[in-house]
Amino acid sequence: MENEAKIKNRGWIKNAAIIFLTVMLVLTFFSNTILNWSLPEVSGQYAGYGQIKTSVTGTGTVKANMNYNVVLEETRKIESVLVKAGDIIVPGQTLFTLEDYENTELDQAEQSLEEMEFNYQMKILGKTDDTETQSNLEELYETLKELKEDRVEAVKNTDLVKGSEELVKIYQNERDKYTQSVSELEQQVSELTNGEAADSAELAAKLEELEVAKKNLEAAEEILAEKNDIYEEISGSIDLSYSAALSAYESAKKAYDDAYTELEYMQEDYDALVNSSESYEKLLKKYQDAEKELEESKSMLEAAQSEYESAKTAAQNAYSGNIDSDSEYNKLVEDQKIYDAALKEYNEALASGDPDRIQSAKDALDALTDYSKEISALNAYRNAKSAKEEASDAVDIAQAEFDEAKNNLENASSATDSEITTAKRNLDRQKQTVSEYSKALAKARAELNQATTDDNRLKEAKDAVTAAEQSVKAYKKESETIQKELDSLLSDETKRVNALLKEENEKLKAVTLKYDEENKKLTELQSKVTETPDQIDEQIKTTEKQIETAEKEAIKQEEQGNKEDMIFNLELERDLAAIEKQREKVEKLREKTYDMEVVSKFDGTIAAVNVYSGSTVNAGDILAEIEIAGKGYTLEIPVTTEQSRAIAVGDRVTVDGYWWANELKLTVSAIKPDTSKPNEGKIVEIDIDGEVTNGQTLNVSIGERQSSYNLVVPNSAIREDADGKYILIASAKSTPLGSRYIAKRIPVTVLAKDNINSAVDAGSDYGYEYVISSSTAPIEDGSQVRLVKS
Amino acid sequence: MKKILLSVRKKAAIAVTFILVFAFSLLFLFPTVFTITNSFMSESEISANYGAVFATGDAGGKTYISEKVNLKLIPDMVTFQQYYTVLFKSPDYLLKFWNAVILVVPIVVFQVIVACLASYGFARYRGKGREFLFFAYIVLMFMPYQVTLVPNYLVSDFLGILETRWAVILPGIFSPFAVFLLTKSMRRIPESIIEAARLDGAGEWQICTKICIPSCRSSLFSVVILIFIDYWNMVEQFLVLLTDREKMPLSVFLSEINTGEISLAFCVAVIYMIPTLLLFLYGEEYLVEGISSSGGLKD
Repeated sequence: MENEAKIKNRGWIKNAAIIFLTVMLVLTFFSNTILNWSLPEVSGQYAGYGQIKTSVTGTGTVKANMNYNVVLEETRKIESVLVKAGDIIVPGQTLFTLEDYENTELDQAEQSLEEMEFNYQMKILGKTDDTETQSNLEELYETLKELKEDRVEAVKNTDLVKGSEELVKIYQNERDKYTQSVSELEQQVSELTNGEAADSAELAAKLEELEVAKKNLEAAEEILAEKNDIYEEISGSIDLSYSAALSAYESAKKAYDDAYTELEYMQEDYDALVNSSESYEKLLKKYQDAEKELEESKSMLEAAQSEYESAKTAAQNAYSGNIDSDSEYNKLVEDQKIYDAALKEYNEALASGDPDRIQSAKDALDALTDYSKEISALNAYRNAKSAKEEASDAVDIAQAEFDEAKNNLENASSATDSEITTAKRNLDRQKQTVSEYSKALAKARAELNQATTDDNRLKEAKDAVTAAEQSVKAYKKESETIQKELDSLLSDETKRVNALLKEENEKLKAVTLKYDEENKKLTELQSKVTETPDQIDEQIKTTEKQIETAEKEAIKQEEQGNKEDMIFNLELERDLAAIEKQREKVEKLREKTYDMEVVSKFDGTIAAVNVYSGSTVNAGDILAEIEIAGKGYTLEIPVTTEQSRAIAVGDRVTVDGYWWANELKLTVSAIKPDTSKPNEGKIVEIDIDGEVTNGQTLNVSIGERQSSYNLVVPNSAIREDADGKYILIASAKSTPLGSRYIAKRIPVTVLAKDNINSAVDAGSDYGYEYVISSSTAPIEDGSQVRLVKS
Repeated sequence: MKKILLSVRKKAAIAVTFILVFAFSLLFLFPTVFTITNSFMSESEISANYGAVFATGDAGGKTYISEKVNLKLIPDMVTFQQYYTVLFKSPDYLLKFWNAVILVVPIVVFQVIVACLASYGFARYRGKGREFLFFAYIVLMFMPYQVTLVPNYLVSDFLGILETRWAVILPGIFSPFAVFLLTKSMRRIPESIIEAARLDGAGEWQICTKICIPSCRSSLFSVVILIFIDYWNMVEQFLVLLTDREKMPLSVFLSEINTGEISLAFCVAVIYMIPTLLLFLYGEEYLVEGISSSGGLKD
């Protein structure tokens, strides 16, 4: 029990140890990864002594140096305000619109002027004694005026008549032109309808082509008629037709062939009779020879058979094996060769006398067997066997020949002499018949040849007729085709000409209409013109002479007047002078009247607008303030007191981020207190010389001074939060496991700054530790970090 | 009456003994329990309790919350943050742990092998000078390590193994303590068993491996445990013979506790004692038996 408990205990401990080691091993592999994965990596540097090129930067708005106030010189009401503060304006731009008003002063002055002129006129008119002369003068004036008006009217009407006459003439010319064109086209249409080519080259060519085709057709038809005549002539001249001649020839030939065949048969029979008597003796002899040959071959076979039997017995006695086996025979031959060679060696050994050789040869020889007897017996047997076989074959051949000769002999027969004579007579008779048929055949052949010749001539004539007919057909087709094309061309041309005709007719119609209208207008104008301008001029001259005479008369009468007239004249002069003064006054009043708009006279920016729509402006009130452009610009930027110490009047200022910065010249003109932050900052005033616009924003940098500082850190190391600026340092904490780095916050004050570094004051908290400038993840005070591996 | 007095005295003696034993056991147990419980405290709590102990002149004038050490066994808030930091976010500790394993395991194994063979020789050799030789071997056991440190260093340098792990392993292999324990144990084996084995035809090697060593199993286990504990906690050899921090075992870092991560030190100590504890638990009865047998005590 106790042991079991101990074993169980050990088992548990062993398992615990295994698990522990396994866990440690796994954690060893992955702990570094987990660590690196979780900690942000930081980089930075140690802060130390350095130099900073400082420049004060700031941003400001460009302002113009000169201002202008827009003022009205009389009381008006503003209808609308078209600008606002900050707007950039140009000369002539409307700033305000004013409401319309009644200028009573001007009205009064104009009215009094009219009254004065009226009184003056009335005075002049009321003073005249000779009313008749005056009325006469008035009538003359009136007549002159009417004549002038008539002249103007006459001139106008005369001009109109001239214009109308020209137009009528133009329309008439056009009408004539179109009329002629229409008649020409109508003529063309009639020609085309009649099938005439008119002026078309294509049509003329087509007609000519048609003529040629027709001529060809006529020629072909003549040829056809000629060929037909020839054919008729040949056809009438033939006596015997080819078919009849052929038929007669064939009959004659058949008769001849039959007779000749019969003759050949008879000849053969005769020859056979003659031959048969000769061949029987030959066949008999052949039979006898074959019989003899057969007997000889049989006897030879018997001899060969007995020879074979004896050789076989000898071979069987000499050789115990299979005497018919070729393989055994060949083996025996081979063994015998070996034996012969051994024997030869033995003999040579004996000849040499070498006992060892002799012994070895003898031993070799003794080891072999001499098969010469067996071989010779087998050879004899084989030879006998082959001889027997040959004899047997010879017997078979002789037997076959004998059988054939016997057969031929039995079939042969012999003919008698009478049979031969009869056959000869019949043969001769037949020969004669054949001769007669031969003559008839020759005659039929001649007739056939003639008929063939006639037939060929007829065929040729027929072919010629056929060719002529085809030629006629072709020419006919060609002329029909050409005719169709011609008709088509005529039709197209006719259509074209008809279209032109229609167009011309329409134009003629329009022109005729215009002509009629213009003609009618001319007639009306001519009826209006009763007198010519020259005639009216004559009348005007006459009337002017009459007026001059009447005026002289009136002046004469006036000069002859009494004292009252002089006084009256003086009064008139006075009134005239007063009228002139009044006129000047009215002119002045008119000049003084304002337009409905107030426009800008300068280029600039609206600094302030002091009125509003609907407000009434008195004379002398400032409507708006304008900052005039082109009179120089100023830029103001706020700086800290500390920064202001680094700036001096006259310092050169550079513009940042402005394309034409190089064309500007900026200089610090003044450093003045910032009223909004009295003790904290100042305002730096900068004069701008160059092309800028009022209201433009510029980023500027003033001065570049290099100073040395104890603590310089990268700009990226400086962070800021609600409590101010600070830096983070990597504070090392050593542990049993190694150093661990914790980010620690150190508040700082930035003393100076350039684009890369900043000089800071870290107070007593900072002991020149490692300043963190960048990290892979956001870090804050107290975060554990890891340094980037260099 | 006498009997009653005797029983009272006996009981009183027992009680006093018990109290004394209990007190001493508490004293012995307290550091271990303290270490374990403090390993579950947060960093701020540990810093507050023990920071003043490790304050140095570079603290930048800071003063800790508690000016005196405040021994606490029960954490205000149990947290595993330190275990997480040590096991998952500090691979250095794990590497140092394996450094210790790499150094100690070969020492133990080879020392046992050498000790077995040497002790067999010492136990069985009956020639002259056996005792002198044994004494000369054992006397080294009584010398402090610092006495042999310089010769070890020079020899390691001569052999060219300085700055390597062999500079620590090789001297450890030939430690006399194991030889002493095993020799004693082997000498207790009856001669008759050996003779019987010889008569059966066993050779020296067979006698050693099949009879002597199995018989000394308990002593062997005790040797293993004691050697392991000894070298697992060793610091001086590594500091002197190894200068590469990457090869240092964890015992070296535990000896360098400072104002760094005190809480981590507790956690590391707990984890570092686990292998020793497991080994001890595994071979506890062997250890007792081995020590007693080597001391000549009979069961």
